[in-house]
This record gives sequence, structure tokens and C-alpha cells, in this order.
Amino acid sequence: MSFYTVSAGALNGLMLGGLYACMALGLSMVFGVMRFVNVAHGELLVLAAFLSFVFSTAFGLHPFIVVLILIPILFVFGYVVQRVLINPLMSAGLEPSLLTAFGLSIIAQNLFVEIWGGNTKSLNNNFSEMNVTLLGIDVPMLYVISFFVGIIVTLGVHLFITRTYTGRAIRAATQDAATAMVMGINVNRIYAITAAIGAATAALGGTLIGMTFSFTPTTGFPWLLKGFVVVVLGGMGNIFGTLAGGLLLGLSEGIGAAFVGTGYRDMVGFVIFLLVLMFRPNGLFGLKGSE
Amino acid sequence: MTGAQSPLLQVGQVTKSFGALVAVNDLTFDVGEGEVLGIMGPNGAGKSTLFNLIMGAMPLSDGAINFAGQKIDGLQANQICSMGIGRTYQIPQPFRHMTVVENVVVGLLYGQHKSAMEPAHERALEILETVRLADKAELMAGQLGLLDLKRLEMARALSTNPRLLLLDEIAGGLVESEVEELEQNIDDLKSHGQSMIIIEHVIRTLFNHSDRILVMNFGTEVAIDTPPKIAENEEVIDIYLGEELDEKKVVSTVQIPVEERDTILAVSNISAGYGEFQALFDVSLEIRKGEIVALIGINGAGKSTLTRAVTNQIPLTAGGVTWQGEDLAKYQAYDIVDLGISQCLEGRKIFNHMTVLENLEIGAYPTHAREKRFETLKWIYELFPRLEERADQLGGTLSGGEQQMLAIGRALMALPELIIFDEISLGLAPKIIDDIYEIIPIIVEHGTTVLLIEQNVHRSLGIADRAYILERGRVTLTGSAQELIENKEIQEAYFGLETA
Amino acid sequence: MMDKKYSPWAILILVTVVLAFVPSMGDRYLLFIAYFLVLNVAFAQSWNLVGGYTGLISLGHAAFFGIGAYAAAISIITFELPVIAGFIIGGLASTAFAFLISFPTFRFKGIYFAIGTLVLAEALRIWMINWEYIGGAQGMQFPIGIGFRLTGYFYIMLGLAVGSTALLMYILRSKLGVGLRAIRDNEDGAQNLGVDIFRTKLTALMISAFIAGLVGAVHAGRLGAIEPYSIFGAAWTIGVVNIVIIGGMGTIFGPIVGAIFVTLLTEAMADFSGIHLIIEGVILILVIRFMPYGLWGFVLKMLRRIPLFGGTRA
Repeated sequence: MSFYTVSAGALNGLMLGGLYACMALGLSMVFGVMRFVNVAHGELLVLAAFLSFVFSTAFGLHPFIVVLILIPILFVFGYVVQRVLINPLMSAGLEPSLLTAFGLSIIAQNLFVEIWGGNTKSLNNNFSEMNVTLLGIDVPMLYVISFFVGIIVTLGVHLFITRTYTGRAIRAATQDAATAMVMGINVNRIYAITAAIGAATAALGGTLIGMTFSFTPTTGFPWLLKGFVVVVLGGMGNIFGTLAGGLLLGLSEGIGAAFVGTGYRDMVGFVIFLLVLMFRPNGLFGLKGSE
Repeated sequence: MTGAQSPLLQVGQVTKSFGALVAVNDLTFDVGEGEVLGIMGPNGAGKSTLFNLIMGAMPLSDGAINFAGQKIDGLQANQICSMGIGRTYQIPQPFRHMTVVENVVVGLLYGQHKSAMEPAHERALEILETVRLADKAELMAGQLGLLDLKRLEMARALSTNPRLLLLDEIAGGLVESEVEELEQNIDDLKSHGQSMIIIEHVIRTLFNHSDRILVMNFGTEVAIDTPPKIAENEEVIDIYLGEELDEKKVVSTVQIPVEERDTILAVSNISAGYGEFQALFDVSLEIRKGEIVALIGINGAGKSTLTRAVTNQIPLTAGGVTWQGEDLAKYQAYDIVDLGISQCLEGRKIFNHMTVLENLEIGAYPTHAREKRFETLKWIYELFPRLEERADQLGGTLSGGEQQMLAIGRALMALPELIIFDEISLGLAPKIIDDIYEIIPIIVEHGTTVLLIEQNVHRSLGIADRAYILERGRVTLTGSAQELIENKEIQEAYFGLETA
Repeated sequence: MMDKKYSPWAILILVTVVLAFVPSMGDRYLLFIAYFLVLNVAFAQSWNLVGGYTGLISLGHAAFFGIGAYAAAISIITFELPVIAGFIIGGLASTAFAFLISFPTFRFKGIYFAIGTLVLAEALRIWMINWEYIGGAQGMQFPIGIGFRLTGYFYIMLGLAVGSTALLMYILRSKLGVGLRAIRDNEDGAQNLGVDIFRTKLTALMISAFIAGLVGAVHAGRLGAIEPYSIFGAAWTIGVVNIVIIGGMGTIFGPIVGAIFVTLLTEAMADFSGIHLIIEGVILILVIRFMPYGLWGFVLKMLRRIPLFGGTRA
């Protein structure tokens, strides 16, 4: 293996890390804000990919145009699911909401099969064949796009939660829901908005996944796991931590795959996950003693 | 067994800090074999934290704890239990899905002596007999009422066969006759030579059963002495009653007689509590526009529960609350501030990871306040120039006094008609309390009515127009501040014992 | 403890006797269903011990199952050990795995256990797919003529189902059971009464893994050929979580009721494979929201309304 192989792996991985961050952001947010471990997040991504597929084939639109329609649709979807199914369980501890999400993920996977069949699909687009040469290394155009989308989405969410009243209310509810209520904040609504934003970022994440890779009704599960690796790496609920976690996972997968072969590529993330769990349970960038 | 001269428990220069907050500060004391040590102090004095430290629930920041000659800090709770320390929780922590007798069996199987199943069961029934819970042995613990839960706490702590028993507020929230029953239990244990540390807000209980009393404030020792000496200790009396003031420092600025003002908040015969625990009994009070009303009581009297009940944070079990003639029952807790009632919560409740400015802006969350937030902010900065200096600092990095200013400022940002100050003097140095109290008349002049919830009698009476005294969830005394200042029974009512 | 108004042992014996007669009915299809039923019961009890009685939600139970299957296959195929010895090694291998994963996953009261088991199970699956020594993606094949007939496997699995149920009933009345339930209800409270949290949780997880490993090992023998995709597949975990929650987590007969319900639903909907999982998912969500102790808990609650059954406890 040459220096070129390793550095190509690293650069490609780093770029792809933007996609990882984008797809994991919603998972991180709902956990950080309301301690909801959304094991159906993968299905949310796949749902976005399928809807993108449907709209782009039906209307002949580019996936990047479709995603603009998709973001509000998933926003509303996330809001409603949170309000109707998850909020009533919030006071009962972690398990009921987690297991309900588990149920949702089973339902979603099988609904996808019923509606769209089990075949592998991908979102056709003019970028998938393009490469960009960076530092003398060929990188797929979509990886580069992902990188910037990841950064932009992270910044966008960061600006939202620091600059807007609703965003600050989200942070207030995260830190102390009871006090937030006294300030006049409707915490249930804030939770639903958080889930909605999470779902909206999944619209982007799912579309990118569909464009860059292929997907099937069961693709959500491996993406959920990658999401957990990113979130544990970055510290649950930490927005910039999620970006850093995504980039770091992409980077280490890229380098790792160059050493141990692509078959074990996914193992790299899992090993890191295990190490972080053992030695830095608050995440690499987590606040000490926040649990 | 160690020698008779070596104390059972030695707490040596123990300090525990959470970030900037020092919960327990350089505390040193011993408990001898067979001794009963009482601990008292205002909310937030660090009493329960001390129990948590002894029991290994959290690491010490500094110092050492020895039990029976062995170092126990750094050990896990189960190891400390096995060495012979048992504890009860202030808020009972039963295993709700296990029967009462099974709750006690846990400690017998796993505690100091690790019995086998059969004898454990028999012994558990005996222990339940001593706390008068034997007839409910087969009920699920989740079905018990508060008194029974307190009895169960006691039984569970005893089940580990402790050499030292830590009792945290075992009488808290109970009515007179129930307190007496638990006191009887403490007496029995004492006569059997049981070593104990008792945290208690029912001061009479504490004075009657302790060999010595440790008084804490701000996490530090104020005094440690025999009960009669403690009762005479000036510093202790000051902590509980506040410094004696010669006359009312401030006279109400609005000169309309009280009777002619409109009632804005009317609380009629409300009862409320938490699950089985009833904290308020048939409480009525009213607040008129432009007044400063003080609600006075020791901790555990139900003051904060009253605030929560009035502001819809907990449901009422009886009675009702009207705000400007409108029943509050149809509103949610988060609507209250929109209606014009703003709260400055006990313990300040600053959002630590948000800046001072962000905290203030969150205060102006209601739409009408949000529109005027820049004007209000200017006013707040005039009241507390310190907050402007620290506008970009995180809330968690402020000092206690600054946090209290921020909490007041945040509550004012909502442009309230009524502001509720819950224990704003708690845990602050007298000089800072002075500064904060000077703000109150200015707020009233600005057109806001004030409900002042305090345990500091003299402070609050010094500024209030009228006051209500709350004792064990009931209003026991009410009148104008002047009348109450002259009423010498207050001190007695307050301490629940005759002071010199 | 159990209600004295009905005897759990009597119910268990009755169910066992009824099932024991299934092979003699000569209907191979029925025997097949019965085999899956008892497999589901045994596997569900394994999950129930940690998920229901200890408060540890395992989302990676397929890993314990799969390790049992592979360890048995390696012992029997590669090392030519007797079949029964292979099964026991399967159980033990799974127990060892439980021991290893306890260190990273027992931190942070519950959250990391659910996430950790989910991720670790998948990591293991990918590892197995790539590990050529054990056949990689092709998997392993048992030599022809080794093992038992379907009836034999049915009786072994029935034994595991009854044995694991009886074991749970025994554990619940033992010191360990008291400690587990105390941890589930209030971890800090339990620790203050002397319960060693880590050791007690670890014991429960290892017992659970042993049962799951045995079930996986026996099922591998029954299949005659195993490959990592399905043996380590998340479907096993989904199935077991559904069964226990729908039946009633933290109750002895909940997993049995759940296994009967899910196995029969699966059979009834055999022609609409996807739909039955959708229905199961919907039932799961409804049960979590409205019947915290599942169908069995609901039945007990209804029975108690009838004076004959009396009692106040679950």
C-alpha cells in the first residue's frame, strides 16, 4: 500500500464525513434535547431517499430540486410523529419512547417493501459520474458536495438554535425543561419542533445517501448504526461535535480501509465506537460530567 | 471493632464543589459510637450532599471520610453499606414493583450480614413490625402512602443492620401525630445504642433527639454543639430569622389604602401535593395590586409547593385560583407568564450553558414582552449594571449574587404584573441581600406587584405590606407586616420550640 | 412473587404436556410451527431476564444467538465434538461474549446498553461475514447424518423453553432475582442496600446469553447449514423484542403468551410476509402505550376483576 492510497482514502473519507454528519444530526438533536433514542432514524433517511426517488422520476426533477420540497414535508412529518406518538411517552423514562421508535422502524421497513418493492434503487443525477481533483487526488463530486452540505447544515442548525427565539427555547428546554416552562415555553411544542428539524436534516441526509450510494428498504439500519457511531464520537446532542464526529468517522474509515481492506471498512467505525464508549463515555468532544 | 476512643465516623476537611458552586466546604466532624448527631440548615446548605458523600454516591473534591477506622471515600455505595452504614432518602425511593416485605429483604440479602432467603423473610417481617408496617407486608410498595413510605425507608435502612444510620428528613411532609410516631422509632433505636446522623427540618424533632447538633449554611459549619447551646446561638438564630431590624426599613411607596386596591390574585382553599404526599392544606390568600406580600415559612413548610400550585405546575386537589377574576385552571403552566405572572425561582435556575444576555432574552419569551425587550433590557441593565458587564458570559460562570440578579432580571423581562420572588436571599451574603432587597421597591414603583417568598422573617417583614405565615402546609398567621413584627409568637411558631 | 390464586408451576406443566404430544400427531407442518413456538419461548425468556427483570434493553440479542450457533458449528464441524457438547459450547461462548461487552455497555444506566448492543451485534455480523476461517459469507455446513431429526430438535427446544421458564421462576425467588428487580426499580436505592450493581447485572446478562447461545446452537443443528447474514440478522432481535413486549415484559408467562401470539400471527399471515410485521409493529406501539405489562398483564388485570381470582398483585 502506498502513501497515495492512504492519503486518497483519508481525503475521500473526510469529504464523505460531511454526509455522515448531515445524516446523524437529527439523531443527535433529539437525543440531546429530549433524551429520545430514535432507533427509527435510519428509516427516516430511507424514507427521504424513496420520496426523492418518487418525485424525481415522476416530475423529472433533479434530486437537489426535489429536496427543497422534501424538507418541509419531512419537517411536518417529524412534528406530527413526535407530538402524537413520542411526546405522550416522554415522562415514562427512556425505554417506552425507544421501543416505540423500534416499532416504527419495523413498520417503516416493511411498508417500504410493500410500496416500493425490495429492489435496490439509487437517485440518478448528473453528479454521480463526476470527479474533482483535489491535491492531486480524485474525489467523487458527490463526496465534495456532501462535505459542504454537512458543514452548511451544521452551521444552519447552529445559527438557528443560537439566534432565534425558538432556537433558544430549544436550548432552554434541553437544560431545564421545568424552568423553561415557567419562562412561558411550551416544552411539548419545542420537542416536536426539534424532531421536525431533525427530520428535515434527514431529508437532506437521505437524499445525499440516495445520490451517492444505493438504497433498499432495509438500508436504514446500517445508517442508523453509523449515526450512533458519529453521535457517540461527537457527544450526544453536541451540534458541532456531530460534525466533528462525522468527519472523524469518514477520515478513519478512509484510512482504515486503506490498511485492512474495504470488507472491514465498517468495522473501523465500530472499533472506534467501542473505544470511545470505554474511555470517553461523554464523547470525544462531550462536556465532562454532563450526564 | 476499633478502640472505644476512636470515633465511629470521622469527616475530615471534606469539600465538594460542582463547578463554581461549593456545596460542602471544608467540613470536619466526628460521630461517636452510640451518638446521635443532628444536622440543620437552610435549603441548599449542603446537608443532603453530605449524606451523598458519606454514602459514596459522588466523589469528594477534597478531604477524607473514615468509618470505624477505615477510609471509605472512594468506595462504592454497596461496599459502604456492607461496612455498616445505612441511609434513608428524603424523597422515598422504594422499589415500586416489589412488595413491601421484598423491599426490606433486599437489604437483608445484600447488606451487612447477607442472610439466606428464608431467615431474611422472617427478619424482614420483624423489622416491619417495629415500624408498624407488618400488616402491609404483601402490598406493592408503589401503593403506599407517604407515611408508610417513610416507614418503609426506615425499615429498609435498618435491614442492612447498620452501625451508623443516616436519616434524611424522616419527618418531612408528615402531620403532627405521624411525626410523633417516627420520633418514637428514633427513641427506640437510640435506647438500643444506635448511632445516627439525622437531617431534619422539623426542628423540635431534631432538638429532642440529638446529642449534638451541627448547623450548616453555604456548605460550611456554623456551629456544632448541644441543643440548648445551639438554641441560644446568635448566629444560628440569625440564619433562621434574619438579623433583627429595629424598624421597617422601607415603607410602601403606593399610598392607596390596601382595602381600596383591586385583588389581582385570589387563592381560595387550595390543597395540593405530590402523589400520596399532601403538602398544602386548605390554603387561602389574596394579593392586591401594588402590594408587597410576604409568604414566610421554614423549608418544608410548603412555600414552593404553593407557588407551583398557584402557577399550574402541579394540579390542585381542592380549591381554586383566580387571576384578575379569571379561573387559572383552564391554562397550562407555560401560559401563566403570558397572563402576567412571572417567577423568580428558588435556586435561581439559571440556564448555565446560555449567556447572560440569552438568559435575559428567554425571559422575554411572551409575545408582548418580546416586542419591548430592548427597552426592558435597558431598564434591567440600569437596575443591575453588573449584568451588562457580563452580558456575554455563560450563566453558569456567574457568582451566586450575580446569578440571583440575573434570575430577577430574567423574571422582569417578561413585563409581569405580579412577580413571585422565591427565596431570593437564600445562600447569599448579607451585603448582597441588602443590594437585592433595595431593588424591590423600585420594581413596585414600576407598577409590578410582588409576592415575596422567604424564610428570612425579619428581612421580608421589613419590606412587606402584609404577610402570611405558612407552617406545615397551612396558613397559621396573617396580618400587616407591622402587626407581625410586633408579634413575639412568631419566633416560637417558627422554631417550634421555646427559645430563651 | 406470584399470586397464590393460580399456580405458575401448574400452568407450566400443563402447557408442556400439551406441547409434548404434538410430534405424535404426525403432522409435520404443525410440528414445524410448534418447533418455532418453543424456540421463540426459550429465546424470549432469555431476553425477558435482562429486558424485563433487570431493565437492560438489549437491541443486539441476535449476537448471543449467532455466537451460540457458530460456536456449536465450529465445535461440531471443525473439531468433530459430539453434538450435545457442541451445543453446550455454543451456550458458553455466548456467555463469554456477554462478559466482554459488559464493560463498555454497563455505563450510563441503560442508554448505552441499548445502543451498544445494537451496534456491537452489527459489528459482529460484519466480522463474521468477512472471516474466512468460518466460511465467510458462505457460512458452514454440517456433515450429512449428524444431529437429530425434527422431532428430536423439537424436544430439545421444548426442554430449553421449559427449562428457561423454570430457571427464571427459580431466579425470581432467589437472592439474584430480588437484586435484579431492585436494580430495575431503582438503581441507586439498590446500591445503598448493598447490591453490587455491576456484578448483579453481569450475572443476569451472562445467564441470558447462555440461554440465547444454547437456542442458537440447537437451531444451527436443526438448520444443518448456517450463514452469517441470517443467523446474526436483526430479525432475531426484532422478533424477540416484539414477543416479550407484546406478551408482557417482566412477567413469567408474558413471553409464552407473546410467543404464541406472534408465532400464530406469522403463520396466519404467511402469504403476506411483509404485512404481518407491519401489524406486529402497530400492536407493539399500542401495547407500549396502553398495556405496560403486555397481553398477559392485561389478562391478569382482567382476571382480578373477577372475584374468584382475587389478589392485588401482578
